[in-house]
Amino acid sequence: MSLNEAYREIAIRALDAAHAALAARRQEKATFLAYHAFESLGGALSATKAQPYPLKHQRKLNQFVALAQPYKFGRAVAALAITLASLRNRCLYPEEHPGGVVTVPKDVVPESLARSLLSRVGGIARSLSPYI
Amino acid sequence: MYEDLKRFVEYNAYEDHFPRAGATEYQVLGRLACDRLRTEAPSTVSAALLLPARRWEMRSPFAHLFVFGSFRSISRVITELGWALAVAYQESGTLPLISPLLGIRTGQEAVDRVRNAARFPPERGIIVYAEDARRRP
Repeated sequence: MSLNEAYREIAIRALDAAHAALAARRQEKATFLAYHAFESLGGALSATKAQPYPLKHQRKLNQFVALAQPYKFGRAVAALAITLASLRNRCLYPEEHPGGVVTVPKDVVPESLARSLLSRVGGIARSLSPYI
Repeated sequence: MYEDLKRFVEYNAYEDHFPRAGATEYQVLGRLACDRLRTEAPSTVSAALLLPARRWEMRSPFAHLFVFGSFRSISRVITELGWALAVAYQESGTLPLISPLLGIRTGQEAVDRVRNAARFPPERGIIVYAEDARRRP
C-alpha cells in the first residue's frame, strides 16, 4: 500500500466511524472524527504530490489548503479547515465561561451541524478521489 | 466597544494603515480578514480581534480570532465565519482559529477575556471588525 492509499483508507475509516458515532447520537465524537478524516485527506493529497506532511495539526491544514487551492473545491477546503480546526478542541474538552457557566462538547456541536460537517467532508473526499 | 478596544491594539482596520513591506503572517491575515468581514461578517458578530499565536513564534501557522457579539451558538458563528474567511486564509496561508466569547458587553470585558484566554497581552492585536466603527460616518 502506498502512502497516499494509506491516508485515504484512514480518512474513509474515520468517516465510517463518524457516521456510526452520529447514529449513536455522539455528535461531538462524529465531528472530531470528521476533523480526523479531513486532515487525513490532506495527507493523501500531500503524498500524491510527494510533499512531506507536517506533524503539527495547523501546519497540516495549511498545507492541505495550499495544495487544494488550484482546484475548484479549494475554497470549500479552506472554509472546512477553519471550521473544523476551531471546533476541534471544543469537541474534546469542557469550556468555562464568565459566571461559572461550563459548556460540554455535546452541547457545543448540535447534531445537525455534525451531520452537515460530515456531509461536507464526504463531498471533499469524493471531489479529491480522482486526484489521490 | 470599538473605542475601548482601540486603546489595546497594535492596529485597527478602520484608522491605521497596515504595514505592507515586512508584515508578519498574522498582519497579512488581519488585512485580508478585515476586507472580507466588512461585507461578510455574520449579523450576530459585533467585533473581532486577531492576535498572533505566540509572542515568540514569528512565523506561526495560525492566529487567534476572538469574536464578540450577540450570538448564542458558538458552533454556528464558527461555521459562518469559516465561509467568510476562507479566501483570506487561502491568500495569507495563516489559519484563523476562531474563538467566540460569550457574554461580552464592553471593550474592557473583551480585553480582559482575551488576555485570560490567550495568555497574551493584546497590545499586539488587530481589530479586524467592529460593527460600531463600520456604522460611523
